[in-house]
Order: sequence, then structure tokens, then C-alpha cells
Amino acid sequence: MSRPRTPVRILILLLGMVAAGSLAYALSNVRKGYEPRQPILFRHSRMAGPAVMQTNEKGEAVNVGGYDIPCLTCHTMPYKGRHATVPSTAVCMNCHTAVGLNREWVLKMKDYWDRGEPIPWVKVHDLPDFVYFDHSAHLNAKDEKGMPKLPLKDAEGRPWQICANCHGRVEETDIVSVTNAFNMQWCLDCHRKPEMKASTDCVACHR
Amino acid sequence: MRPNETSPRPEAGVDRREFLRLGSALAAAGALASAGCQPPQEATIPFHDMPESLAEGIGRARFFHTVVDGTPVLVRTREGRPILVAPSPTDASGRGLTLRHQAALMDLYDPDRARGPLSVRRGQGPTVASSWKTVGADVVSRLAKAGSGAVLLTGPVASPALSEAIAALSAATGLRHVAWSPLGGDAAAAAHRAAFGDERLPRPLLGKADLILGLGAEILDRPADGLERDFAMRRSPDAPEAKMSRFVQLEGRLSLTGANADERVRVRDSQLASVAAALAHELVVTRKVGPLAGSPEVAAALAPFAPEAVAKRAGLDPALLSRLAGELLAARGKAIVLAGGAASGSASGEALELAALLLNLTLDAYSAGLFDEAAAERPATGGAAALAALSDEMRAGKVSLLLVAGANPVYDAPPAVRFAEAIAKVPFVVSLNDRLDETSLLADLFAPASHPFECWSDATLPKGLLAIQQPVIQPLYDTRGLLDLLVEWGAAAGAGGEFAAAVAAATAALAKAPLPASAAPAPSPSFAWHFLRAAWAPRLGAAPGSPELEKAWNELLRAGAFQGPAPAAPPARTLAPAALALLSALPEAPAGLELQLYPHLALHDGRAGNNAWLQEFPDPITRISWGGALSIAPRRFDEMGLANGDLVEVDAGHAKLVAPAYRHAGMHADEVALPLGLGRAACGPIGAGVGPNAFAVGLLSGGRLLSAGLPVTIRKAGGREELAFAQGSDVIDRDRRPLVPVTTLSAYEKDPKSGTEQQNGGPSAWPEHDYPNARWAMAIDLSKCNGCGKCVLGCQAENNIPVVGRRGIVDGREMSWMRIDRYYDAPKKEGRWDAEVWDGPLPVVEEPKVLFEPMLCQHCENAPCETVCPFVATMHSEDGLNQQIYNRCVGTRYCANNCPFKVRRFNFFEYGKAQESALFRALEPRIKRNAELNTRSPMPMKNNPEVTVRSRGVMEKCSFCVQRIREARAAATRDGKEKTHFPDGAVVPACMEACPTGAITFGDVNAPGSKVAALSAHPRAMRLLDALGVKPSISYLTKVRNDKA
Repeated sequence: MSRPRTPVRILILLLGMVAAGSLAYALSNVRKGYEPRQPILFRHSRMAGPAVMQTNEKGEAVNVGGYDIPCLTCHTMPYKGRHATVPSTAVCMNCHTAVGLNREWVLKMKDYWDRGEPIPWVKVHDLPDFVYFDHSAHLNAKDEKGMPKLPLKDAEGRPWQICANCHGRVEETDIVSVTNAFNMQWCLDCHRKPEMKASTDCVACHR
Repeated sequence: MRPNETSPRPEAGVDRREFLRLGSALAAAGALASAGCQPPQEATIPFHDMPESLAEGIGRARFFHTVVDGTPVLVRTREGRPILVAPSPTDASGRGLTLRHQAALMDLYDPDRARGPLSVRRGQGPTVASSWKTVGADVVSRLAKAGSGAVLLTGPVASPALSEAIAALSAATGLRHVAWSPLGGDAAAAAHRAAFGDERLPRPLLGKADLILGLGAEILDRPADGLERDFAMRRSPDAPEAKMSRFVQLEGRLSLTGANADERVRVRDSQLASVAAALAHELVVTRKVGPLAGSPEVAAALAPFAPEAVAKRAGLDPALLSRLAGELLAARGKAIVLAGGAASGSASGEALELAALLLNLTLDAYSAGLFDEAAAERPATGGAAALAALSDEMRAGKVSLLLVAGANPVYDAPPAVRFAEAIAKVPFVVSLNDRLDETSLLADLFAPASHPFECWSDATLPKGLLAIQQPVIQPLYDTRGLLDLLVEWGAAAGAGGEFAAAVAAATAALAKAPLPASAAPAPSPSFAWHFLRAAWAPRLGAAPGSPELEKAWNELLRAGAFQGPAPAAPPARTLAPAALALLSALPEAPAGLELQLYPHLALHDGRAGNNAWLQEFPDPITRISWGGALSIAPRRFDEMGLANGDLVEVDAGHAKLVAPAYRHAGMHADEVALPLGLGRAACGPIGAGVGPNAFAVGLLSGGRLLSAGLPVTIRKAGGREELAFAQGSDVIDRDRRPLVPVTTLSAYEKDPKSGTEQQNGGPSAWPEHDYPNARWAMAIDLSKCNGCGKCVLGCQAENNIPVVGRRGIVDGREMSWMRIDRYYDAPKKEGRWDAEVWDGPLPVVEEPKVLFEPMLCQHCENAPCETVCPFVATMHSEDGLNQQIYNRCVGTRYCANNCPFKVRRFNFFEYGKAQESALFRALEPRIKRNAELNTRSPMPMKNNPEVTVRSRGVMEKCSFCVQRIREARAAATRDGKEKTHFPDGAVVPACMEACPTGAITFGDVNAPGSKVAALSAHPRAMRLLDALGVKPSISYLTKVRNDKA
């Protein structure tokens, strides 16, 4: 039994690597679990989570949980337009002229504000550029009874915010990551549910 | 080794074990590779402090009223970038959008505009960057010294604030103002001044006319007047307003206007005046009609124009003139005569205009209200006489300082003016044009002006309306608005107090910047803004600085226009007999061939020569893009043994010019024609050197620029230039190919379905689609469509359609999703036309019947493209769209081959992105040109973010503006409205939005009572290629010609 010559083996190996890599890439879930490092360690749980009262060593009651701020306080636009919008630094300054003035990350944020620079947040839930997604079309979609089509409770029946259907329970996380697949299959899983009566036309998202 | 001999396994073979070994290595490598694969990390940058006014505007279009070139427009912006120029829906002035207004976007994002002030030093040595500070100081000190030796040369000034600023500056420094426009309509103004003592031209109300006689009229070729809307109102046989109008056109060159005539008669430009006078003779002298009938002066003036003699000279049938006179008489009080266009630029132009005026008086057109006197407009200033006088002074050394702003006489003045020579004699020349053009190159200093989208100004419109020109984007480069500059220089030169006040206020505003955006609207740091506000305060009836002014000003910006005082009362329409002298001084028509110079439909006077959209726009008649040609009548063309593109020398006596020849159907045999606006020498790499510069043969005569009736001789020059003909320019034999529904009014009245006859397709092999809800459809009324092509540019802007350049057009690789097919209708013939019909046989092209047919994806129900795509990249949507999915497309091009309408476009190049590899650029020079035309910064800023910029190797086509459909659906969801059906107007595609005549109707054909449903079921409606059973979603409504003389 003769053995293939070395250059041919290398060639096959290279071609195969490309093919296998592509296949693995296609099958793997490249977005789920994406958790980029942000310029400021902003904790959603601290802002939007429920309050958790504890007594400190001095015997004072302190809130070690969150302030229960609704999502729409900062992300103002999801019902009105395509983007949910990331708040401008001025929104942070609405409160942080008065509270948390000595915290490390608040100071960093104030730095940006004083310099007049926007904060370069890293996009977490990032769809490809050929997908035209509209928040308002999803959040305003109602069924016959006038209830939002997106469920207000999870699969186990525990209530959640409407945003959580795609973004997960952000108010419980410190660092936001992608908790769903965010690929076309995942979109279509929902669009194809009979009760959603959603379009599965290509041009619904691609144009 | 013989073939049938068994051989050992080849050396390179892989056995099972080897395969497995390699396989396991592969899996490991693949896992490693994919672990490192992530989508690119993107930033999401919020505002530092979001302006409150933007709260609802993120990711949405915002609209602004402004003015370009004297026409009110609506600009659509996204995130602060203008992306579409559309007609203003609330405009009451009646002004019309032209192609160059739509393409103003490309001028704004032109990478070849000047980026800041330069010291040009008359082209001696390299240019050196300068600064506004030095420019300002230099100009102001020289202004003070020059006194009346300083001259400001501009284009026509339509802005009251600018006029005021110029007047005040003149009063303070002695600066003189001269306006120059190469396409001024001086003849009509002269005739009106002579006849009525008032040079304002009343606006013809074509919607009221039963009969329109055009004497070289170019109402559709020059749409800035907005007459095409009124014209189309009565061109449909079932228009609700009144019966269909009839349009007879006498002209020498087949123009777009003539192509839309019911009857067209070929008359040379130089003969038009006498033919018009002969018609007047027939009516006034012979038939004794109208208020002029008893006047001996009129009879005497018309005496030399006996119809028989004139008809003989013009080579017409005398019976024709008497028939036309009879038609006019029968429609008296409902008939209107229009002269103008290139023909009134002939030596007998004033006589032509006067004769038309006599005819209108005779037909009671004025007294019957066929002219809107309230909309009367003074023609734009800027005659050749003033420029010639200025040039003489300059050559005599009487001008010590010349400021040029928005004029380019070195390019467009007639050669007899010798402007380049004159400019050399002026000690100091400053150019305020937008780029280093022909004139700026001969200046000392170059202080570039901003695009109208970047600066403040205002404009007067017809009917006493005034409008504000508001900026829609910050200046892209270091440029200044003309008004800003004049105000600044005026203040420095000590002109009136309003200049100093404006500058002081603006400087104070600038010192405070940057202001937090959440504060109250900040005062602008623009000089022009403060000057305008001060000038407008009395008009708005509010004190400067008062909150009322703030409110009124904001309302003005929101509404776009303001009703000023009504213009002065029109003069009595009684003829001053002295005017008849114009008829007696009628020059002889040239004996041989005569030349007409007509403005290019898209490029107009050539100012926007570097605009790729306009350069690529095919002329609706000749279908030539990227250039122009000498139009020669087919018979003469054949006799000279020419082929399209053969170079011909045009000798006008005073100047010569070489241009490619074109066999132009419908030309008068003794007339040739050249388009103006081409052949720029210095405008930027996009337009420089494209086509011949026809201004070079313009003739200055008696203070007028002659653009028609110029005696010329032509001869073959040898050599050839390939003309870039766009798709859709054939002769069509409708007996064999019933592709355009056409009929006559008499046939239509007998049978409303006439003209829509087609072969029967038989049963379909495909199952019917089911449309339970909305289904999108379009109807195009060919009777209203005049072939102007504004839909094509509207589509190009909305859908990010690239420019392919001359080479691309020649290769048939156009990318435009919409085109206007131009056909010459072959007449009925015994038997049938053979192959020769495609070359345009003389009987067809001597007097062609022109058909225009807008052609775009028909969104067929049984689309042939869908069935052949191996990747299902094109498929049907549930609301009737034929979807094209770029990500699935691999570019097999089966769909394009199977499309019977030839509307699919393939991206042979990566038009949207510059190819970075130097190797590829060297291998394929076209890549460099494509980048030059499409991707140089800041050109990509024009792109509509709602539409994908396609990449190489994918197919694309009209999507029915699916982005607007999806936005309408999202809006319905947001507002909690029904999404099963959509009312009319919920979705307006870009072509329908741009169409000035309402020929295009789009909507949900399943919505009860929708307009498009009614039109699709109309007896005039025809779906193309029924025989193939493709079932298009677009219905074409018959083009009806009014043959009822």
C-alpha cells in the first residue's frame, strides 16, 4: 500500500480544515454567550433589579439589590421606532449629579461627560447588517384580545418583562450577554408559531 | 501503459486509514478555527446629550423644506444626512422639479468640490491653501479701493435677501452687479415688453385649454416652469375634469415636448416665426377674427405673411396652415398658443414670440382666463448683452476687481465675448464658485461657496410666494454660503447697520458654542441666518428678538413657503402697435443647414457637469448617456453615409466643433441640433471631457445669444466615437409585438378597450396564488406619462443604485431598476415589417410616433425568474411581491435570462465598495473608474440606510420600494391599525413620489375602493405579455392620441 506524497497530504489537510471549519462555524452558535467587555462596568441588576434590603454592620438598612428602574426609563424608544436606543450620557447625569458620586465607574462616566465625549458602548445584541429589525413592530404586535403577542411570562410560567423574550432577564445580570441564539433559525422559530401570525416573507427582514 | 491495463493505485491516493487519520486532525483543526470565530465587534455610540427634537427621530426619516435653484423641494434626511430630494407636496407656487434638482444630492456629496479657500494665482504654479480670514481681509480692502471698478458677476439672483445684500454692498462700496445665464429667455420678455409694456410672462393654464398649439414650445423639456403637471391633467381620455386636450406641435428637432404631441409638424426654427405669423394672417386678416381684426397696423404688419407664400418657403402644405387656423378658430376661448424653447433663441425669436402673442390675443386666450396673471414671472435676469458689455470694460482695463459667484462664463459664454481674454486684464479676480472650474482656474483667489443644502438664503416664487432656503446639513467642507460672505464683507466694508448687527450676533453665538443641545434652540452662528431673520421680521409681522418672531420663523421653516404681498396687477392685454416692428425686422432664414443648440435634459446648462447621475441619465429621445451627439435628420444622415457615432465637423463660420453624429428621427431635414451643457473642461474627473461643448458655437448677435437658426455646414471628419446608448430605443411593430397599448381618441370612444388587444395566453400550468390580505400592484397611465424620467432618478436615489459609467452602458450593464423605453411606432403596413424595422426605416423615422413606456420589475404572479432560480433567491411573497434575496443569490443569472421584461440587473462589479487591492485595480482599470463614480468619500453618505448596498455577483431589481412597504406595516402595528389592507397613500414608492404628472399609481389592489384596483380593472388597462401567462402586477393604461382635429 503506497502512501500519499507529503505535498498532497498537506493540501488535503488544508482544504479539509477550511471545510470543517466552515461547517463547524455554521453549526456553532456564534452569538449566544457573547459577553463583550464594556468601557464602563455598568450593572443592569443594580439599576433594574428588585431591591434587596440588608442591615450593615452599623445597623443601617441598605439596599444591596437594585432600584427597580423600568427598562423604558433609559431605553426610551423601543415602542416608537426601530431602535431601543442606548441612553445618552445626559440620561446618566440625570441622577448621578446627586448620587453615587464617589463610585469608580460613575467617576469614569462623569469623565466622559466632562470631556463631552459619548461613551463607546459595545453592541451586545448585534444582528448582521442585512437584517432590518424593528423593535416597535415586535413590541406593539397584539393578538385578537389586544394582548401583546410576545408572552409576558417564560416557559415555566414565571412573569418577566416583554424585553426578556429576546434579551433574557437583563435585570438579573451584571454584565449583559446574549442569552438566545440570535440567528435566523431562532427568529423563524417564533415567526412560524401559528398564534404569532407573523410574516415569514424574506422581505420582512431582508431587502 | 495501455488504458485497459490494470494499474497500481495512483501515488496520491488516500486509503481508508489515511482518510481517518486526516479526518481526526481536521475535526480538531475545525473546532480550533471556529472557536476563534466571532462576528465583528461593533460599537453603539449614543449621543452625549440627545437633542429633544430628535427624541422620535432616531432611525427614522426627517423631512425639511428648502429651496434649490429657485425651486421648493422636500429633502428627506436620515441621521442628519440628506438622502432624497422630492417634490414639495404642499408647494402652491406651481414650480416643477427637474432632474438636476433631484440630483442635487450628488452635487452635495461631490468629492470634487473645493474643500476650502485656495490661492489659485491664475493657474501659474501650484495652488496654495488659503484661509477665510485672509480671503475676507483681502477682498474687503480691495473693495474699498476699487470703488466702481469692482464687479460682482453672478448667475440669476432669485433671492430677495441676496439682492438686498448686493444692493447694500453696492451702495457702500460702489460694487456693480452683473448677472449672466447662458439659457435666459430674453426673446419672450422682449416681445411682452414691446407688446404690453410689461415683461412679466403670465403662466399658461394648460389644464383649461382644449387645444394647445406649440411653436417650438419646450414645456416638457424645461420642467422648472411646472407646466407638465397642468399639461398632463387633460391628457387622459377619461380625466374627470373635462375632455381630453389636443396638442399640436410645430418644431424642427424632435424634442420631448414634440414626442408627446398628438400631431407634430416639422418646421425649421428660423421659419417658425413666419409660419406663426402666417397663422395670424389667416385668422386676423383673412378670416377677420378677434380684437385685432380691424387694426390696419396689424394687417400691414402681417401682410408679408400670406399663408401660401410662407408655406411654400417653409416647405409645408398650405392646406395645413388653413386647417390649423380652422382648428384654432373652432377652439377659440379654449385654445392657447405657446412659443419658446430653443426656437425663440433664433434671430427671429422675438418675432416668433410676438406672433404667438398675437395669436393668443386673437383667440381670446387672455380674456378667457387661459393665462394665470397672478403667477406672472419676470424672466430670470442675465442676458448676453450685459456680459458682453462687462467683457468689453474688462478688456479696456476699467474693471479692477472681479468677483465671480455661481457663473462660469469661461465655459458657457459665446466665443465672441472673449471672456478668458478679458479676465486676464483684470488685476484681481476672486471666484466664489463651488469648485475649481474653468473660470475659477483663471482667478487669483478661490473662495468656494457652499451647496444650497448647506447654507441659509431665501427665494421668491411665483404668485407672491416666498420661501426660505434652510440648510439640511452642516457644510461638509470648509466652505461658506454666498449670503454669509456678502454679509460678512458688507459689515467689514461698512455697509448698512443690518450687516454689522448680523455679524455681531453671529459672532456672539459662535463664542458661546458648544451649547448643550437640551437648552433652548441656540442662535445660529451663521451671518446669513441673522441677516435673514432681520430681513424677514417685518414680513412676518413680529419685532426682532420677540417670541412671536421665534414662533413665526419656526412655522415658516416647517411650512416651507410664505404668502407675501400679491404681485403688481397685470397690464391690460392690449397690443401696443409699435411692437409690430418686431415682425418687419424678420431676418432671412439661412439658405442651407441650420443648427439648434438645446439644453441637455438632465445637465441643463452644464453647471452640474460632475454629477454622475445626470451624466448617466439617458436622453429620453436619443437614449444617449455619457455624452451627446449632433442630431441629423435620417435622410440626410443616410445620404452622407454616416453611422451613429461617426465624427462630424460642424462649421458655424465663427467657430468649428467636432461631434459624433446621431440619426435623429423626426429632425427637419435642414436642421441639425447639439445638446448644451456637455464638454466641461474642469469640473472633476466624473464629467470632464464628456461630450462636445456646444457653447463654443454660440453666436452673439445684437446683444442676444443665438441658440437656433445658426447657419452651419457639416462634413465627415473621419474617426468615430462610440455612443453609449441606454437600453430601450427601438422601432416597434405592434402588430407582431403588442407591447405598448396605444390608440386614438376616436377609436377609444368607439371601444374603450381598443389598443389593448393581445394574443390569448391559454390556460396556466401554475396554481393560482392566494392573496387573502393585501396585494401590491401598480398602474401606469401612458396617456399621462411624458417620458421625462424623473421616476428613474427618484428610484436611483431611493434604492442606492450605482452608476456604471460610460463603459458599463456601452456593455449593456446598466444597473437602473427603472427605465423609460422609447419606441417608434411602426405604422400599419400590408404584410409586415421585416427585420429592417429595427434599423428605423425612413417612413417610420421621418415623422415618428413616439411611445414612452416606463419599465420596471412587473412583479409577475407567475414570475419566470422564480421558477428557474436554483437557489430560491427570488420568490413570491404573500402580498404579491417578487422578492429578490441578495444573501441567497449566487449569481447564476438564470433569472435575468428568463425575464421577458429584461429588468433584472447583475452586479458585475463591487460598485458600493472601493476595491483596495492594487493588483485588482491594475488588472481591471474599470474598478478604478467605478470607485471614482461611486465610492469616493463622501459619496456613500447619499445611501439610503433602509436599503442594502448590493455587492458583486448578485442579481437585483425593482422591489416595489419594499422598505417603504415594511415601514408602512410597522407603522400600522405601532398605531394598532389593521394590517390586512392598506388605504391609498399608505405606501408611495419613490417613482410615484417623483412623478410630476400622477402617471404612476401604487397601492393595495385588494383594498376595497383603492385607486389602483379601479385602474387595474379599467378598460384601458393592459398587462404586458399576457400570451406568456406571466400575470404582471403592473397594468399599463392605453396611451390615447387625440386625433379629433
